[in-house]
Amino acid sequence: MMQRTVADLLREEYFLLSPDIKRVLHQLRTDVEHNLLPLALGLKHHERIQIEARVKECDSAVDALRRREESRQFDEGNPGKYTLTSLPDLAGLRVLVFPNPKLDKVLEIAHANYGDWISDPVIGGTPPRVRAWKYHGYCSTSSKVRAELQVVPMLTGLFWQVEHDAFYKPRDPLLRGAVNKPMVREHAEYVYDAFEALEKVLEQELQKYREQNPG
Amino acid sequence: MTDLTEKEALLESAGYRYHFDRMIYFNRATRRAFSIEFVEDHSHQEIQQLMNDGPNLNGWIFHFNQDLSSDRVKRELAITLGG
Repeated sequence: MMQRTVADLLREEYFLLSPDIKRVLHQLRTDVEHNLLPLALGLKHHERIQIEARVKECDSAVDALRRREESRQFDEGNPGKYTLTSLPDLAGLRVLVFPNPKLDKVLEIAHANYGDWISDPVIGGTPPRVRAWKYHGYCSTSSKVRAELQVVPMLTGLFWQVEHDAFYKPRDPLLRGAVNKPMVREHAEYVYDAFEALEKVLEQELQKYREQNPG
Repeated sequence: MTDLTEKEALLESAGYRYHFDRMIYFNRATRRAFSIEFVEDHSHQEIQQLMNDGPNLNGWIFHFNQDLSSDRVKRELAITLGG
């Protein structure tokens, strides 16, 4: 009989964890929507809070674990060292927010409700600054599967989706490697800088409009 | 240019190529390879010093942050990098 590979064992683990992942995501989504409801109901015409939930797919989870190895391959002689429960984002929720003042309010609510989760912000740019806020921890419905909550400026989050669809599909290891090349990463950072600048200018103009048109 | 991009330029000017799948800088002539994590976490001087060590005659040398203790992984990596 052929020996099962590490990836085979992880796929089996994924199958066993799958009900927990779905339950965790359901709980996190419901909790976050509940916590953000007062804010969401008070949004003005141009303001946005968009909540996106996703279960990490099996291949993507196995691949994420493989990418943690600097050789990008599993040590087949030591299968016991790998488990999908070490991933912080089997269940993930992303909150996209526009404009920045609303982002601050969403972050206040996130801190108030998930302050005991581990903070793992996305840092980028020169000088380095926070591009997006990430927290991971356990929901009460499962002690095995961790969930990740992301709070992201809307334009940055939408570009992440473009990047993800274009580069991070599990079957495109070459593209993914290319995107991680420092020269390419540096240019991607310019895009995020531009989005930040655009959000700032938009907010300044909206503020100006409010001052010129009170009431 | 960021610090990391400068290190990339340093490696590429010394004949290192980037392996897109493994995310490793490697040089078949000197049989030396650096993981992207190692490059991120070490200074120009440290990387330059390691590159100056010259070619390795007994198989590949892998400069990784993680301990690459598995012979099987080393063997498969060497096959992937060729040379």
